[in-house]
Amino acid sequence: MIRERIELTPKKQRRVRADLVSVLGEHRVHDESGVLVAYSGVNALFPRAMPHFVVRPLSTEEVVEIVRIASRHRIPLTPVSSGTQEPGTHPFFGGIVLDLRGMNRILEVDPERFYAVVEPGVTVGALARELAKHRLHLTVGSFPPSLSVLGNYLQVAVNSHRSSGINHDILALEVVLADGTVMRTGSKAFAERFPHVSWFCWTNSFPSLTELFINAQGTLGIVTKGAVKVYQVSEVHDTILTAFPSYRQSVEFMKDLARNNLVQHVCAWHWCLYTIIDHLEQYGHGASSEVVVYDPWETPDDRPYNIVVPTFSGYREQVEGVKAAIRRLIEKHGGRDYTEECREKYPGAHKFFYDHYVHHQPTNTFMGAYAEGYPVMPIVLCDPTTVADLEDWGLKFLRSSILKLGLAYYSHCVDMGRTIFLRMTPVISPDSSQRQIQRAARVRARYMETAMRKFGAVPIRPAPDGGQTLKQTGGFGQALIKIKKALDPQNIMNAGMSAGMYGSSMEEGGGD
Amino acid sequence: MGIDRSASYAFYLYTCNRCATCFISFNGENINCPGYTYFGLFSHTGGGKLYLAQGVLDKRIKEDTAFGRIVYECMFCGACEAACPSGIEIIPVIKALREEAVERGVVPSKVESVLRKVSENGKNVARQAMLAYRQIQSLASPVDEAEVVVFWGCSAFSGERSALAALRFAQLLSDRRIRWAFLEKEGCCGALPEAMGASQLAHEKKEEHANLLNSLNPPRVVYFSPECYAQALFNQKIEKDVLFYVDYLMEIFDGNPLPGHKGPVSYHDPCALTRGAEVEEGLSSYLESVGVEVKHPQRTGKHTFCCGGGFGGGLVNRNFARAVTLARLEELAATGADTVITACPRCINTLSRHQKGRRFRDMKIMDIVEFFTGG
Ligand SMILES: Cc1cc2nc3c(=O)[nH]c(=O)nc-3n(C[C@H](O)[C@H](O)[C@H](O)COP(=O)(O)OP(=O)(O)OC[C@H]3O[C@@H](n4cnc5c(N)ncnc54)[C@H](O)[C@@H]3O)c2cc1C
Ligand code: SF4
Ligand code: SF4
Repeated sequence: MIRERIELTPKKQRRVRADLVSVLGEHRVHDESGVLVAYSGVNALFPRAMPHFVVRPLSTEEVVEIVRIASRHRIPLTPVSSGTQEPGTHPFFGGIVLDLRGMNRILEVDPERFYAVVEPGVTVGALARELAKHRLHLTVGSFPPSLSVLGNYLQVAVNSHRSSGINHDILALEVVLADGTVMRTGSKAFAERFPHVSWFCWTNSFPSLTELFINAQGTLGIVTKGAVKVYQVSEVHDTILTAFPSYRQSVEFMKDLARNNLVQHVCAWHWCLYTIIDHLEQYGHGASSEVVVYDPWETPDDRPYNIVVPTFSGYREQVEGVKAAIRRLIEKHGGRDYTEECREKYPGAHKFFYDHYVHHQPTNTFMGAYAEGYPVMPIVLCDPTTVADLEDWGLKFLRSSILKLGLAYYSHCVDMGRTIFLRMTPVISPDSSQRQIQRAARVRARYMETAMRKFGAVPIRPAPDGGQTLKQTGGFGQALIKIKKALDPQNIMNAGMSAGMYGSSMEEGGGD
Repeated sequence: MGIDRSASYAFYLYTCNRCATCFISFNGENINCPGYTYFGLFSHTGGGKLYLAQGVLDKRIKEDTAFGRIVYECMFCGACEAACPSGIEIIPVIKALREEAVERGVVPSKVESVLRKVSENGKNVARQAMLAYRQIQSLASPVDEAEVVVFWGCSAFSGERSALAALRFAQLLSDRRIRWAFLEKEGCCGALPEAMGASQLAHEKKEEHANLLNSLNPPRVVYFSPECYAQALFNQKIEKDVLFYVDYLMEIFDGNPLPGHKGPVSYHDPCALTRGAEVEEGLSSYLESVGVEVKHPQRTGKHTFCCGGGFGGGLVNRNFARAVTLARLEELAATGADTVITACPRCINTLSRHQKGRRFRDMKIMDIVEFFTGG
């Protein structure tokens, strides 16, 4: 089992290289440090780590061969689809990085069966454009179009269709396991025997294995295809942007909307963040440090504390009915219709809300916010009864810490309001010293700890912490470690991240 | 000076989120970085260069020859910088990486020999361009009698197509009885050594260039190459009125040139013009202003795509250059127009070179001066 960063002797390096070249050719195997350094990780809170090789497979068959080579030589494999932000893309233990962007075929768009099948290199923008030809759309977050669809969907993606009970957009997957087995989930599993069986169903007669790979960070297998859910472009897509003076009211409103089937999605944006977005959208490039220094509780003028964005679609008559009901709930919860005022006063934010959440189109707007700092965003899925208290405490806690720059948040209502996603958005300055970065990491960890202990929240997008978080899950963690060991006994699959997620108990008798 | 922790770009090296907009443009579909088009690696993109620079600072870059190669496997076209939604200034980082390669003595031999030529002030006149060159020389007026100096730049006579376009421009000036000067010892404006990371040489050349122009009588200098024009615009030592030849053309024609036909035509915006000289509207505005029907390629203006002749990449790897040119020709052909207008000697040479013997051979690639003077 791989337990630490591997070292390769020059001889072994040459042998592995020769094996990789025999599968991919010279042009798609790289071991020059000038190439490797670009795949050494992104997230400022975790150390950079150089891989030994970067390879660019173009098909499932090539991935299988690479996995076999890695397994034969006992070398870690780190899959990267887009490689933004996630610590899971740091090849902590070295080895081979698989850059999957070259696997960029949209294999199927099936308007009848309502799904598309894509490879990991397919970008959100490319799929959105292809779907538009069929009057379909996919769900998006506030992210740029150049992200990988599967890179995003394999995380807990909190995208533009989450409030009505659709918790993720992966229908089924094709996965290459550590021993080279190619596995398909859902109905497609039966295509082994009956090739005409399509991807139409998320399950089959057996336990669902699709979810096993969501959030797995490449530690259990390499996804080479995914059938993703697509949605109809309806006669009308609309919103009523709503202003609320407090987050507590926003949450109650969001829950009421979702539980009464009035929205596909609803999210709340803290004033500081929609102000930044408006600035970026209106003035283009660059961050806007001048607008992020305000006191997070005190809006500088009559701008609302939160703007809530409920989105709905359907036939015209249906949408009129939904709008009438939403107006009643706005009154009930003490908000006001802010659509026109937002268009007038914050046209950039208005456009952003419409692009992402009404029309499900990615944009680059939010990216601009990063130039003045590196995002250190603690994200939790929270209990709907305590999330407002978490917001209150969280802002105070972060405000008094090193993580005060760009302090704001956005929050999504998930699964009919059973869960509320809350993402604080502080950044640290890129010229922070190592000590400051470590302090920032500690603050983030403390935030997460308290969010769990005091407010009953759970973390998503795991930070490698030597298995500490998993330990807190008892039997769940033990079962998960057994699965990891059964699927990948040598710990080839994202070995460093595996050690970070599953911890040292992965090496012991069975995760106990 | 190489990669420098105290430079203004250093702050931004660590803010790149790898969002990929610098190589897969806005719609998430088009690859807008020539380096990525061919190599398919993050290291060869604008964002990748920021990581390369981090690697230099953290001493994680080892094999020097490979480092030298990678930093020149880039067209220096600036598409990455124009696209980056975080507004990161990537070109200064690429320049500094190349300076680093120069300092480490790991510059590819082809780059080295070009730089040697520049430093020796060798005039680069290709055999096929010699006839046009001589004719142009013969059309010029003595410098003391001239109203304008025409600065041709090193790419004007590096191929036949550009030399013919240059000749057409010179003939037009003479037909219109404009007294223009030809500089026998033109020298280098500094753009090329700067892009190649030879900062000391670039500095000297920029100075020499400004001194030369300032020592001449004519108050105006017309640049035939957008690369030199972009360089001159930002060379504060030049005390002359600096003009791009297309603007000068419009002036000569009083805003009303007589194009060869009314279209439809397509066009290739040179990156040195739209990004280097910041003429973001590009060639379509000139063409449309005189009533020509224009078919827009997908990538234009500030987000135009390289012709394949960019500084560095075009020199060190021919396959890379060819792949980029073919991708561009493909895009231009997709507009359906059989005439393509451009305004850069390097672009016209590069695009026409790979046109031959291929399915693009019926495409007419013209300089805008050729089009405005009847095709
Ligand atoms: C400005 C901005 C705003 C954003 N807003 C949102 C938002 O509102 N909602 C939202 O959901 N997201 C949002 N994100 C996107 C989100 O952060 C990323 O999509 C997510 O972090 C996953 O990262 P990635 O797409 O880069 O995938 P990667 O970094 O490529 O991968 C993430 C993890 O999955 C593993 N992995 C990658 N490919 C495979 C594979 N083929 N098989 C197995 N494992 C694999 C990797 O090893 C890594 O551990 C935003 C991002 C940005 C830049
Ligand atoms: S566009 Fe900018 S932030 Fe995005 S990857 Fe490129 S350099 Fe980095
Ligand atoms: S300058 Fe051009 S070729 Fe070089 S990285 Fe930027 S976009 Fe790519």
